[in-house]
Parts: sequence; structure tokens; C-alpha cells
Amino acid sequence: MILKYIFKNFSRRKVRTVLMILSLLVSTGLIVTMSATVETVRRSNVDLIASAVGRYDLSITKRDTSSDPFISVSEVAQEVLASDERITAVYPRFEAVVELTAKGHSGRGILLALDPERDDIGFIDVVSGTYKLGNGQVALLENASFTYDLDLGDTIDVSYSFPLPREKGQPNAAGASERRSTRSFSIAAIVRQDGVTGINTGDGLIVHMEDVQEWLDLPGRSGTLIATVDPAVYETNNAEAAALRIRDVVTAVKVRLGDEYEYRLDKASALNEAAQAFLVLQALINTYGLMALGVVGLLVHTLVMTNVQEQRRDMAILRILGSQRNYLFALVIAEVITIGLIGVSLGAGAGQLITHYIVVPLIERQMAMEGIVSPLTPRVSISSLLPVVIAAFAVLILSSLKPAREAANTKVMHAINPGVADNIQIEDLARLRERRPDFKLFLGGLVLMFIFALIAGFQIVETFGGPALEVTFILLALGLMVLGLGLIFYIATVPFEKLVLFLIGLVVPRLTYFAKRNVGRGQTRNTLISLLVLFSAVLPSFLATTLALEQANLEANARHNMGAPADIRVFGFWATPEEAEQYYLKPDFRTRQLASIQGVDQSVGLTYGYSTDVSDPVGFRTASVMAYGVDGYLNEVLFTDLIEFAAGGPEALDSIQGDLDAIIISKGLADHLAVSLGDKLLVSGEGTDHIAEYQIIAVARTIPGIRGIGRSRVTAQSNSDVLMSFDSFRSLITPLNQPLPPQDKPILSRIMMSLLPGAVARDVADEIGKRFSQDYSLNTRFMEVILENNERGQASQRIFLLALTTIAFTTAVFGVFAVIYVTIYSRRIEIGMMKAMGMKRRQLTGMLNIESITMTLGAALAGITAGAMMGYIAFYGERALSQRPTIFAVDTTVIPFIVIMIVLASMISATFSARRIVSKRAVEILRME
Amino acid sequence: MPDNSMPIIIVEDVHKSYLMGKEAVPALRGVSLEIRPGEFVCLMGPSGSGKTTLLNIIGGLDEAGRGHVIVDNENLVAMSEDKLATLRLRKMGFIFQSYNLLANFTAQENVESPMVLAKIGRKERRERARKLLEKVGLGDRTHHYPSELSGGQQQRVAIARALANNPAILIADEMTGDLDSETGFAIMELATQLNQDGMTIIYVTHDPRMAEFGKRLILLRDGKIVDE
Repeated sequence: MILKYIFKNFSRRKVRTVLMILSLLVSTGLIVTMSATVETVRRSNVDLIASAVGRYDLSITKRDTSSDPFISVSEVAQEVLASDERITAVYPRFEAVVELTAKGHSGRGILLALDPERDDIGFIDVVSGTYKLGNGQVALLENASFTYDLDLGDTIDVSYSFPLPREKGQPNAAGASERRSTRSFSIAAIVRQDGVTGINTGDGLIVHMEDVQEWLDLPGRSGTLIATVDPAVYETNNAEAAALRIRDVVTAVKVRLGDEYEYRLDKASALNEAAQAFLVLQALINTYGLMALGVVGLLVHTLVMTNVQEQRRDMAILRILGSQRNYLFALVIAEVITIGLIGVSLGAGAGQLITHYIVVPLIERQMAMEGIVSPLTPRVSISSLLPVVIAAFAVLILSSLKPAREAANTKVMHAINPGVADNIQIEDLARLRERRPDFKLFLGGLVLMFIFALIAGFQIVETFGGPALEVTFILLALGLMVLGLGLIFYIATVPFEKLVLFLIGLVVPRLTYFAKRNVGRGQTRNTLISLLVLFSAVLPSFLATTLALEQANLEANARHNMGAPADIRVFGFWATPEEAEQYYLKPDFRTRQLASIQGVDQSVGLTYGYSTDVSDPVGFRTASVMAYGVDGYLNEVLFTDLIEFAAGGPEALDSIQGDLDAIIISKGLADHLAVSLGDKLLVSGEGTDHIAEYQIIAVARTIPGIRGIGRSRVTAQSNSDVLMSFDSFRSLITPLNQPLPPQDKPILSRIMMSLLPGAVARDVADEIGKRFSQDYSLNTRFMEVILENNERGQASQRIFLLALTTIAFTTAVFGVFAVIYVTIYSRRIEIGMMKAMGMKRRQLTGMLNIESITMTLGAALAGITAGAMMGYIAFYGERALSQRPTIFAVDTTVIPFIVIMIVLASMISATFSARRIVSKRAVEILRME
Repeated sequence: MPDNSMPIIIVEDVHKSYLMGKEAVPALRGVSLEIRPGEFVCLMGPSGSGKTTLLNIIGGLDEAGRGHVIVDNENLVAMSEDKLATLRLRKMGFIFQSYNLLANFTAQENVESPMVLAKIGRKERRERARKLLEKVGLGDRTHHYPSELSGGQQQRVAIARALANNPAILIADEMTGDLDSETGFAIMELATQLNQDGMTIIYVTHDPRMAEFGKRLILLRDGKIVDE
């Protein structure tokens, strides 16, 4: 009976039913699409990671301090298998850096030994030949075939040096390996590998394990054991939980095998890191999704309420016939659930289809254009569908509760005397309709923003930890920010409406005359729809403004951070100055080795930072500083347009090179110590009683690339940099009465450089990598490359933002439509009268369009202002704190998109909603009462 | 006093039916009449007699199924909807039982609204609206919203609005239907005064007391004129 009644209602109110189903279809479809896309990309990322780090879960090697670097395979493998039942297989491997020689060329490469009959980890893609190892036959990695110009049947000599154990507590093994063995192998196949090993296999070859064991005389032994874990361990949505399970497995192995071995679980670590990166993305989608569903909820609420009021007489008759209130309540809820079932099912299906046939191929194409060839497998898991479905039904039920209660409260009088039946109006929203924004809303907004500030400012998110909680907090913070800003800026909708009306009035003054009065004074103003449009605009505008500012400041940031077109920094881990010396560079690295690289123009070396104290000459005020020695002429490499001096000038950057008594300090430090140009400063040097006196030759506000040079006096008290000559620095780090260190002592930790005109950054980077990567631990950065990468990243972010904005506003369109539809319906008599008076159809449509545009665009503009303002405050605030100038920028993608979408939505909604009424004759409309 | 000038309204053999479900129900069955400028015509008849239908057809609010309706030498039957709207704007004023004032407009703005559509300048329309409101006795209520006015006052605003563009014909459907007798009489006196000023008025009423104000009474029954 209920279903029969529901389906009859559907056919009676086709437009409304279709509208509700369509809005659900679109909103759930888009959210499912976004979630599924993120899930697909996340999993593909995991796959890419597995491909890079090896498709196994654990690798075990002997520690480099172990006297025997090799593992007894059968014995240890048994132990590993027995340590945890989740370990499914253990394979012996031999992975080592070897010297390769062929056709007169020699170089380093990777020797990978495995047993192809048992070890099926990863994929081998045979380029040519037959992948059959053993008896001196090897598979050469494709890259090596290019490097050494080798083909099938050619031979390659492989030299292996047996490792020497490192003495515990010593950084390196003493002396060089004396045991070295060489063997020739014949090339049976040229292959590519994917996930077979985690070692970077540029040049290398794959050899049968038995061949290596025989060659190196290591029967039954291997260098590495790799193990796989039951894939069921990964079958959870919580990547962190999966990674922790793998850690449990490895812990069990360690308990069994002890500390003599090293354990690596790269795949689980990478999976965990990748999952963290997707958490924020998912939080954003959830926020947008909730906003979208909120609008759908409003639409359903409004339309169902209209249905209930129209059906009141029918319901009163049912009451006369003996229906219980519960029955009428259930009737409405069942109607909404039926609509929900249809709409959400269709939406979930559409989301899958869109993901499968549109989004994933598009991403693959985009990735291919960026040189990443990785087939994506579309993933629409139950776990990504379920939250959307549950949220959609929760919103539907919440939005139908009031109409259902209204239905349940139907009085029999509605049937006996139809005259008392309610007119169809959006009276259910009456409490939220008002002429002017409520001050209470403004206060509510302030309170929400205060809570947001507490969460964001005090970093509660990080306090608790845990990805799930973190996402919840991020979501909560974003939600609070959107709601808070929306409520605060709701007050701005009225001036914006006036502005919109003024502008439209310049074009169509007569229609605006009518619209102005209806919008400005109308009781049909709907606070809820205004707020929802406003809310929908806040977050995209905030993110878009931040993105626009970031993009505008991208180059300035990179120039400020790097200071020069390129720089090289040493990296590594050291505990003592002696250890550090292994990593630092000698001055002649810059003057000889680096200078020989093609494309490098000028360079300047900076020493490592020496942490010390400075004071004015009488020790009245002191500060902690980091002292750097400068080796070279900074003006030749620095971005000079970014240098700002408070006293002195750029010439100081060059003259400091040869002046042993000179020092350049920051404006903040000068203010803190109350010293100025020409004054003396005392700097504590290494050792007892070592106080050096320097004269200030410049006070700088900004020197690009030198972070500790700034204006902040507070920061300068404990975190300021000072620059001095290279020789002054050598003197400063040497205790009194001790000879200065030799000139070639490695103390440079950074080299800033400029490139010759026409030099290609990537080529220079490649050349530096080739020449120095074996002997040094260097991190080379080129501004050109950084900018390229950042710009690519920003383009992707903008596309993602547009997609999210589309979700928010596509559903907002339905919300606008619902409200406009009901508003126009409730104003039909007025419309009829205006028509009788002589207003033409197109004028009426125009007037309703103007009203609709004004109402929604006013709210959207308020939301845009709120979001953009928040974006500017956040960005400028952060820049001010980091003492960096900011280039102003306005978003020209997302915000115009919002305006266009909302104007189109309003026009379509008004035109479509008014279509039936304005096409009727005046008398027909008037008779409708 | 009967006018011998050319009729301003000619209705010739007008038929009109409405579809009730699948069945056509006749509302007018060959009505013909002529109305000359300055006449004060009352249409009376029982419910369903077709009086409102006839009034709407004359006013260009509804179209005749068959026959001709000529208003001020223009045949309404051949007119497009836009032309009908223009005709109504320029030559006719309408008054309805339920006033149908624009709720968000003040009394003055309600009266101004047809003038806005007729592209009359702001200054002129304000002046004219003010005078019209004074004429209907609401000179002190110009800035009141409909919700702040009594039924009689609202109907006076509706009359002032109907007169905004100096129409030749005033069409009123049960204009006193929602009012008490005293207010109803006052409204009819106002209409009489307008007629005395030369305006052609056609009105529909159920109430015989209100019908007495008309100078020509036309009785309809079952879609036909039965007496005049």
C-alpha cells in the first residue's frame, strides 16, 4: 500500500521526483568518483612504490660489522619462516655493487643473483633473447646494454670485491678489500625489471644464484634473504595499521635471528608514507562531499515539504479513514528512502563508470605526458562507497524528518474544510527567512572561528597523532573554518546584493526596479540557501587564493630560499667534527672540480655553520648566532635584486672576502645588540678565552639564500647568521695558540653558483651527479628545475580544486533550483497579477532571473570574499612571520568559475522554474489560487 | 446617458469551452455585445454563468474559442501574447477581488509599477502615483506596505494602480467581494466617480446592491446573455 502510494506520487510529481533523484545521482556520483579516483591513484602509487623498492616485504642482510657478511641460506631461511606464520616465502639473493667490463668500457653496476625457478618476486620484461639463467648465462639489464653497447651472445666481465667488516664504532672499514674475483658471463637475454629488487639498477645484470655461489665459492650461502608476507596483511583501509603489522612480523624475525642482521621493510614504510600524503586529500573530499550533500538535503527537505503540503488533503482523508500518525510519518520517510535508493544507487553506479571510463584514462594520459607509464586499475571499493552511501542516507532522513512530522500532524479538518489547508509556501523555512542577517549568526561565526583558531593555532592535530584522528581534526578544522567564516560574512550578502542589483540595473533598469524590491524586502529571502551557497564558496576561494599567492610567489620563494641559480649542499649523518669532515668539501672542490663542469659559471663556497655567541664590545647584550665563512664573491652568484641592506652596501659582500676583521650581520641582530655600521662585535671562538673582535661592515635586512639574515629583533636573539671571510672562519674555529687548519681542510658545506647563459640545468645536474656522486654525498638544486616541478604540481592542484569546486557547486545548483522553484511557485498570484498588468513573458522571466542571480550571487560573492580574505590573511601572516616579501595575486581560475557556475545555475533555475507559470495566461495563473 | 459614438468594445458570437478532464464544458455560448466609451456596465449571473470568462476575454486575459473581440479597433483574437500584454498595459486597468497587490512594494510603488513597465520617467510616475493615491483617498498612506493597509485601502490602491497608465477601460472582477458592505459601497462610489470622469467600466458582481451602481446591467446564464 505504501509503495503503491509512493509510486503514484512519483508519477504525479515527476519534475520534483526527477529533480531529487538527479541531485542525489549527481552528488553521490561525483563524490564516489573523487573518492574512487583518489583510491585508484593511492593504490597505483603503492604499486609504483612496490615497483621501486621491490615487491617483497622484508630483506635481511648481515650487519657490515659482522665478521662473516654472508648468510647460511637453509639454516636462516628456516628460522625466518618459523618466526611468524604470516611469512609465506623466503628467497636467497645476492645483491652487490660490482665492476663491469665489456668492449673496453668499465664502470660500476649491480649484480643481482637469484634462483628464477623459485624466486618469482617482481616482473621480468624480456626485451630480447631468452630469460634462462645458469651455466654462465646472464640477463643484462637494458640500461647496461646501452652503456656498454652489448647484445645477445656478448660477454661481460664482472669483478666482485669481498667486503671487509667494519669495526664497531668506526665509520669505515679499515683498509681496502684484498679479495677480488672476476668472472666472464655470456648474455642470454636483455631485460627490464619491475619490483624484482629495491636496489637502483641502472646498469646491472641478473645471474643465477648457483652460478654466483660457485663462482665466489659460497655454497649454500647468500648475501641477502628476502621474505614475503601474506597479502591479507595489507587488506585494510588503514595503511598505517598494515605497515605496523608488517613491523610486528619483522620484530618476530628479529627476536629469532638477533642483532647480527639488518632488517629492511621498505615497502611497508613507503606504503605508510604514501597513505599519509593522501589523508589530507581525502579530508578535503569529505568536506566538499558533506557540503554537497548538505545542499541536496536542503533540496529534498524543501521539495518533500512542498509535497506534504500539497498532499495534506489526501493525508487528512487517510486520517479520517483511520490511519495512524505513525503511518503518515512512515509514508514520507519511505518516499524519501525510495528516492534515496534510486538516486544513490544510480549515483554510485555512475561514479564507478565515470572513474572507470573517463577519469582513470584521463589520469593515465596525463601521467603518460609526464613520462610516467603506469597502468591504473580503477578501484571502487566498498569501503570508499560505504561512507558516501551512509552519509547520503543520513542526510536524506534528517532532511525528511520535519516534513514527515508535518505529515503526521495532519488534522482531519484539512479534508473537511479544504479552505483551511495551507497554501504552498516555504513556510517550513520561515524561521530561517529574514530580511537582514542576524547578529546572532555573526556571533556564532566568531565562536566557530575561535574554535578553529584553537585547533589550527595550537596544533591539536599533531598532539594526538594517528592518521584517522588527524583526518577527523583536519576535517573538523576545515568545517569550522567554512562555517565560521560563512556566518561572519553572511552579513556581507546584503551589500553584495545591492551591488549586483546596481550593476544589473545599469543594463535592465525596469526589470531591476521590480527585482530590487522583491530581493531587498522579500520575505522569501532564504537564509539557508544563501548560507549554503556562501559556505560552498568559502573553501574553494580560500584554497584558490592561497594557490594563486603561492604560484605568484613561487619564483620569489625559490630565489629567496636558494639565493643563487643553483646550489650544492653536502648531506650525511655525523656525530663528531671528525666524522663531518668526511662529508664537507675542500675549497679546491669549488675552484677546480666544480669549475670544470660545463655550464657552471661563478661559484661561492660557504663553510658549515659554527654555532657561537656574539656580544657588543662590553658584553651588555649577547645573542646566539651561526657564523659562516665565505669563500668567493657573493655578488657574482646571488640574486642581487633581493639583497637589502639597512647599512652598508652590496660591495661589502665582496670586500668581506679579503677583510679578516669584517663581519656582516642582520638588521635584527644589529637592533638587538644596539650596534650599527662600523661598530665592533665580539664573537666567541673555539676553545678557551677565544674571543675575536670584528667590525660591522654591513647590516643586511635580507640576503637571499641566507635564512638567518632578517629584520626580526626577537628572532635574532637566538637565531641569526653572521658572515665573515673564509680565513676569519678558519681562525674562529681554531682554539687559541693552535696552528690554523690547513687551507685544504674540508669545511665547505654549501656552494652557491651561477650558470653560463644557455646552460641547461638538467644537463649540469646530470654531469655533477656523474662526476661526484661516487665520492661525495651531495644534494644539488637548480632553481629552474624546482620551478618546473612546482609549476607542474600547482597545475595538478588547480585541476583537483576545480574538480572539488564542481562537486560543491553542481549540487548547489540543485539547492538553488529547489528554492527558486518553490519560491516562484508560492509567488504565482503575484506573477499572474503582473502579467495581467501588462508584463510580458520574457520580462517576467527576466525579473525572476535577476532576483535569482542577485540572491545567489550576493551569497557567493560574500563567500568568495570570506575565503579569499582568509587566504590572504593566512598567506601574508605566514610570510610576515618568515620575513619574506609577498607578491599580491588574485585567483583567476576557481573564483571566476564559481561566479560563472552560480550565475548559470541561477538563470537555469529561474528560467526552468518559471517556465510553466509564465507561459500560462494571466487568468490561468490567477485561477490557480 | 447613452453614447452614440463608435463602440470601444465589440464582442461577436464568442464561444469558450474549458476542458474538465476529457470533457469540454462550455463557458460561453455565442455571446455578442457592444460597449461604448464611458459606459458603466455590470455583468451579473449565477456561478458558472460565464461572466468572469467574458470579462477576462474582453480584458485580453483569456482567449475566445470562437468569435471576435474588438477593443478600441483592435481584434484581440488575432493578437500575440506580447501584443495583448501591451494592449492591457496601455488601454486597460484591472481590479480583482483579492486586490493582488505586490506584497514587497509600498502603496506608491504598487501604483508606479505599471508606469515602470510603460517606460514613464521616475519623476512623472512618482507625481502621478501620488495624485492617484490622493484621488482614492490614500494620500497619507503612500509609503505603507499592503500588509499595513485594510482590505478597503488595499482595494483603493489596486484601483489607483489600475488607473496608473490612464486606461480607457477599467475591468473589475468582484472588486467588492472581499469587503464589508460599507467599504464595498465606498469603492463603488469611487468607481462611479471615475465613470463620471469618462472612464469605461465593466465589472462583475454577485451582489445586487453593488449591481445597482452600474448604468447598464447584463445578465448571463449558462454562457448566454439572457437579459439586458
